[in-house]
This record gives sequence, C-alpha cells and structure tokens, in this order.
Amino acid sequence: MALNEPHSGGAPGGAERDPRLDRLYREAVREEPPAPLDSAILAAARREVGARPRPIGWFLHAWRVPVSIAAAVVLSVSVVTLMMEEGADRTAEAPPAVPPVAQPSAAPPATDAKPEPRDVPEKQRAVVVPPAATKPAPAPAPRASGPVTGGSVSTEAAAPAAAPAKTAEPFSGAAQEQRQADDAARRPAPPQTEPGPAFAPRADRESAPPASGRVLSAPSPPPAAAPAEAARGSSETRALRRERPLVADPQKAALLRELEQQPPEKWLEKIEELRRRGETAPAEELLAEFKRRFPGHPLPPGRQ
Amino acid sequence: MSWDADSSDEELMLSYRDGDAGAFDVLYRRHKGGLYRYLVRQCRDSAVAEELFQDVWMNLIRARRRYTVAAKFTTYLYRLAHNRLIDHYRKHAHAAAASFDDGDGEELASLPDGREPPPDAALDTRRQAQRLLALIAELPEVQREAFLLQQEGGMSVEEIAQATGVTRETAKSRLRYAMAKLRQGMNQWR
Repeated sequence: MALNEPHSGGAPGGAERDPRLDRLYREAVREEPPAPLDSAILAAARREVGARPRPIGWFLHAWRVPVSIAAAVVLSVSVVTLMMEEGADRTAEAPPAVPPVAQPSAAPPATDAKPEPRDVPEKQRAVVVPPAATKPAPAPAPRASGPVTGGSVSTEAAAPAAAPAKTAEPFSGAAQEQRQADDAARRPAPPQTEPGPAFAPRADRESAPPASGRVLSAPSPPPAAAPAEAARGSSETRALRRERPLVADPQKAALLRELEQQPPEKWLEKIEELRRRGETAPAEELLAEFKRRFPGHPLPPGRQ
Repeated sequence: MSWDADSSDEELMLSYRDGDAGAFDVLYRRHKGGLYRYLVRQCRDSAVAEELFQDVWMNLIRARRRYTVAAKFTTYLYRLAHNRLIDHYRKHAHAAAASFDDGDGEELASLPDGREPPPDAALDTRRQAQRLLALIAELPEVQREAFLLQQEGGMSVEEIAQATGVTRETAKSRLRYAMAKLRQGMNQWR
C-alpha cells in the first residue's frame, strides 16, 4: 500500500510546478496549528478509539464464568447449611416422643424429669439418628409394658411425636421457644416425665389420658395442635391442668412412683415416716395424693 | 505498534480505524501543518481557520469506521477540508462560494501589473516570500485552492481534481492560471 509517495519534499505536479515558487512558498509559510488545538484533536481521536462500543457487556462477558461459579458455590453452601440446620431442628424436636415411652419401665428414681427440648445431648443424638428413626412407631411397645397401660395412652404418645415432625417446618425455632415459654408461664408447674399419670386417679387416667400424655411426652406442644387445643374450649384444659403433678421435685415423683402399686397402708406408713423425719411438706403432699387416690380409706386418728 | 516515515498514510488511517490511536498521532503530525495553512490561506482568518481545522479532523475521526482505501489519504483529507470550506462560505460569505463556482477563465490582465515599485536587487528572500503570499491571497479562490493543494497536499493535477470534485482539465487549467499569475507577479521583483 503506497498510494502516497514518501514525504520527501518532492512535489508532484510535473510541468505545473515552479521550483522557485516552491522554494519561496516554503520560506513564506511556517504557520502551525496552536498546541491546544493539537491536544484537543489528539485527545478526541483517542477518546473515539477508547470509547468505541465494546462487545455487549464486556465486563460481564469477561467475568461471567467466575461470577457464575462463585454464585453457584455460595448458593449450594447456603442451601446445604440451611437444610442441615432445618434437619437438625426437625430431628431434635421429634425424639422427645421416645424418652417417655422408655422411661416408665426403667426410670431411675433420681432421673431429672424436666425434659429440655434444646438439650445439647439430644440435639447431638438427633443429628446422628437418621430421619426414618425419628418417626414414631405406630404402637410403642414400651408404653404397653409400663405401669400405666392403656391403648389411649399409647396412641396419645404417638400423636405428639408425629405432630412436630409434621408441622415443624412452618415454624421457626425462635417461635417454638416463645411458645414453650408461654406455655410454661401458663402452667402452674413445669412438665414432668411420667409422674402425671401416676398421680392421676385411675378413673381420671382412663378418662383423660391425652392431657397426661401430651404434658409428659411433648416438651413443646405441637404447633398444629395448639389452635385445636384452644378451640376445644377452656374447660377441658383447665381440668387437665388441675390434674397435673402436684410435686415438681423429682425425688417426690420417684416416691410416688414407688408407692404406685402399694396398698393404702404402705402409703400411710410412708407418710408417717416422712412426718417423723420432719419432712412435713412432702408428707402433706403425699397425704393429699393419698386422699385423692383412696378417698374412702379411713385415715389414722389425728390425720383427718 | 510503532510507525515510521515509510508507513503510508493509508496504512496509518486503516490502523486508526481499527483502534490504534498511535497511528492517528503520526498521521496528524504529518498533515496538520499543510491542512492548517491551506485553511488559513483560503479563509484568511486564523480564528476561522482553526475552527475549520478542528472540524475537518473531527469529521475524519468520526468517519473513521467508514474509511476505505479508495484514493490517497491526502485526497480524502483535503476533500473533507474542501467541503467544509464550501459550507463555511455558503453560510458566511456567499460571494466567496460563488467565486468557487465560476472562478475559471480570468484574464491574466487582472494580475498585479508592473506599476508597483521595481524590486531592489538586495531584497531578501523573506520579502520575496511575503510578496508571494500577497500574490496568493489575490488569486481567485479556485486557483488559489489548486495551488495550495499542490503545495500543501503535494497533489498532482488528478488528485486536485478528485479533491475538488472537478475534471482533470478544469483542475489543470486552474493550476496553470495560478502559476502563471504568481510567476508574473514575482518576475516584477527581479
């Protein structure tokens, strides 16, 4: 490509050129454009080149792959973390149905009866237990072998266990904790593991097992059952609350469990023994329970 | 990329079209003086010449994407300048524009006659150059343009015709008249 001759000063034009005029003209003219004008034009030329439209979304095009990978990784980690947390919460809420079933047969007298749904050991256990294991058995066998037997009890035990697993998702952990706190404030005494049914009269136990079962086995009421319970009316709820365990002391609960199968005479002997040891308050509580269980049994003189 | 003196104007312009700002720098340095002087001589006003000069280069910059090698770059550049000058004349001085249309066929008698004081033999070249500039300024527009395109653009008759949009014969005639007048005027100083 050499359309133009090299700039050697030679002027084309052939016969139309006059060397003297050419020389004189070069002597005469020396004007140059001002420097600011040069700068402005050169800057405009660079701007035009630099401002040329790049391919669509050059920046996005160049960073599309890294940004996509980063977004995918962040999303995956978030989803996995969320699923793990939700899974842990779900399994942590379900297991409380199991301990009440197993406790009656092998409950040690000094067992802390206060179930803590957010207990760390339970949570750890819930994490390792596969989700299938958290599903409640249709008919828990230990319940049938316990001291308080009855089909209604076993079905009651299954219901609360199934309910949280079913309805745990829509509620956050904080909301459940708030609900538990509200329930605890309403109740006269914190829930016990098993002494509830033991205190209740046999007739009551058969007539109102759902309350005992729910109170004992469910550390937190199932969220779906809460509205239903409220709709059932306050009378039953109040009646059930009256029959809740009178003593919160685990030792007293163990004592009651010990006397569960004993005749009235043994109860009276135990009451007298407590009185002799100076433990009047437990003695009085035990006596009140004795009166509830054996209303027609004559009391020793001076105890009426 | 570095450009040297052997690089043709067309190569430089193609490189600039493709985004090489350095090629434009070389191109501009090569042609800025000639184009500026062409405009100054033509419109006789340095301020207007600067404005037109900037317009011409900006038009070139804006049109760079459409640039193809159809002729010499100088022809392309001075064609842009010629068109810009015509626009300027039509907007500000209709008489000048008219003289562009019918500037041929002038009589040599209208050239500066010999009634001016005879040149002193000791007149230096500088004064002769000043005289030449005065003679150029008195040339008709089209003849002056042909002469300036030859001097500043280094164009041949064919290229002058192409840049000004006339036939080769017209361009040749204009150039011949201009040269004759200038020679006649300068000879009186000898």
